[in-house]
Amino acid sequence: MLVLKGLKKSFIEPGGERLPVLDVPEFRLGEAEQAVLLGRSGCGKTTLLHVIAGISTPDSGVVEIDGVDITKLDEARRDRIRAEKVGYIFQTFNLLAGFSALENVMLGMTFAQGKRDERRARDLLGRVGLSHRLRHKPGTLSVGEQQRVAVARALANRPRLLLADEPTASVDPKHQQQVIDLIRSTCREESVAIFLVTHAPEVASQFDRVEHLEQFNRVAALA
Amino acid sequence: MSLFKIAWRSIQQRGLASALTGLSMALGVALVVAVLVIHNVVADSFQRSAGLGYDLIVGAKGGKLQLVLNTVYHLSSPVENIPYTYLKDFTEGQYKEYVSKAIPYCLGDNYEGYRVVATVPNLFEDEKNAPGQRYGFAQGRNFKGDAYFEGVAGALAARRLRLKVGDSFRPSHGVLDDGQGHKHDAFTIVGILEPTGTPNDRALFINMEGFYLLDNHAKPVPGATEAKPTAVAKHDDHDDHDHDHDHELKPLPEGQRELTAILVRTSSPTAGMFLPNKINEGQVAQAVSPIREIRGLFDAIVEPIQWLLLGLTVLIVAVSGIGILVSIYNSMSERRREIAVMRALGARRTTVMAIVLLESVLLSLGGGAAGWLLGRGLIAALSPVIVAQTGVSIGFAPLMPAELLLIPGLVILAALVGYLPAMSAYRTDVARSLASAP
Ligand SMILES: Nc1ncnc2c1ncn2[C@@H]1O[C@H](COP(=O)(O)OP(=O)(O)OP(=O)(O)O)[C@@H](O)[C@H]1O
Ligand SMILES: [Mg+2]
Repeated sequence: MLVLKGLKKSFIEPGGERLPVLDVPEFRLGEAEQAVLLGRSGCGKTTLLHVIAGISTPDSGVVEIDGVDITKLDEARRDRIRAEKVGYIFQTFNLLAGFSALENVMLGMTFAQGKRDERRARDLLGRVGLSHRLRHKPGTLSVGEQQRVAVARALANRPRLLLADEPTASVDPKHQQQVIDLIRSTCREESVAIFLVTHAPEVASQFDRVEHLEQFNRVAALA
Repeated sequence: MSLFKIAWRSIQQRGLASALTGLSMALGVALVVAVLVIHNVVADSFQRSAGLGYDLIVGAKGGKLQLVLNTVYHLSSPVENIPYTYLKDFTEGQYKEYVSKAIPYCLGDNYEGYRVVATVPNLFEDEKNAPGQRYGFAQGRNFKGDAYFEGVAGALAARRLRLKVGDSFRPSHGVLDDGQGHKHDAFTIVGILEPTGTPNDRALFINMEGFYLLDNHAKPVPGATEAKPTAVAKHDDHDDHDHDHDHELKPLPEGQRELTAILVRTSSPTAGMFLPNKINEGQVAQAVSPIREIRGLFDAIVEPIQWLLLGLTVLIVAVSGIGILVSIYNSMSERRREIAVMRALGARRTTVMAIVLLESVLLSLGGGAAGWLLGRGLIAALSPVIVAQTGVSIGFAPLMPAELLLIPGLVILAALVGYLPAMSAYRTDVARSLASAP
């Protein structure tokens, strides 16, 4: 499903020095596999997810999604792969304030070609328990509810891979479990692979596969 | 969800700013539409009035435009006269074959500032004053040729002067009412014309025969010092205002009569080309094409002014466009994160750029449509006032090609002003914007 090979990413710092962040010799995630990614703050977890999603380009290496090396594609095709194969959930501010819950879920469909399936959007919102909140704007939803809308939106285009960057960091422990359960069960039903970043041990412990970025990232290992 | 809806949502989100920029666009476009409609109406009414259905105006040699302004528009200072006998050349003499209708005009009097035209009843009879138009009487009837002291009033003049059928009025000498002019004898209003949308709406028309019998209207002829004995006998009694304009009156001898102008309708287009040369070769008078004169005036003065006005209003629209630019551009910093989220959902650079451009287009077209309605509404609401002030009727002005140009014009303007914020959306650094706190 996901294959990383010889992946390197560095940033040019304001002073002009090169700051290496990622150096991943190899990493694989299977079809519908659910993995959690741990690592101390600043070790490059978000950067890694950005590179996988094609939001950032690596300095070198291979990022293969569903058999396609996206580093070889031009930006428009990468965008297309992201729209169709990758779902993304952020820590906060996932939703667009001007749009209702339903519209936020439909938004991703707008950017993938040829799919505009309102029934699926309603169905997903039903599965995250928000059938009664379709017309609500994000400002009138609780943070937990907002994250559930974000889960529904990330899955709207039937992606093959869900990237979640600390999706429960701003949710209280009770709702944290609810959101995690939701992500895991929905992805299992739709056989979507999960790569989820978290700082919470109680979340990480639920996953069969737990990865520490420091362990497979040679930059972090050196640091 | 379409890109339109996404763009519309973000317009809604900046509700107040959007409403204000849309409003300023609406006002700008309303002004453009108003200027365009007025331009059209003015051009149209100039054209329609220009001839009043007459091909030529014959009058004393001198200013051509002045002759037309005097006879058709009831404007400008009076012109010289021509001998009455000259009329015969058109009715029975050398020009008869080229002429289908010839109407004599005697000008120079006014009543309370409204010009008085002394003419013949035939002016309002048969045919039409312009294609598709006839003179009709809203009240009463046309004046009669043998009732020397009858007259009719144009619609606007009647309304302004509060004249009704049966009223009488005394024209005074001069085209302006300066209070000094000698008051003439009274004419009875026997009819009120229907509005024609031409300058004739603001004139009064009297029987030429009565006009000649008024004081100082006989041409001094050597050896005939007491030129109009009958008239004097009957009408110098200024204490008696209720004359019977009976038929005992003797018309003024032709030798003592003068005309200001003859309105001529030629019998054929060829005659229309031929006749002016003939007349102009002679010593007596000149023949002027009112349409050509007015066209000239229009092209030289009215048109440039209108272009200037149009230019100014288009500038106002451009300024409104810049308002849209500022409004959208200001919102870009707050929207960086939203744009990054859309990109993370798979939106292309060109897609988020298109959304911002669409916003600009929707604002200008929406404002423009509101402005169009506003401009048209304004014109419709003001049209009675304009008719009352000028006698030019606006009626329903049909959709003009220039108005249709507004649509592509506004789209181009929107694209230009939307370009800067759209490029800013295009260049959004997704990874960095996602990292920054909302
Ligand atoms: N655009 C950038 N320019 C320069 N340095 C950057 C940039 N983005 C990230 N970095 C640096 O790269 C490193 C990794 O950042 P990243 O956001 O991936 O960490 P993280 O593991 O997600 O941390 P956290 O758990 O706090 O979210 C950090 O040291 C950060 O300062
Ligand atoms: Mg992070």
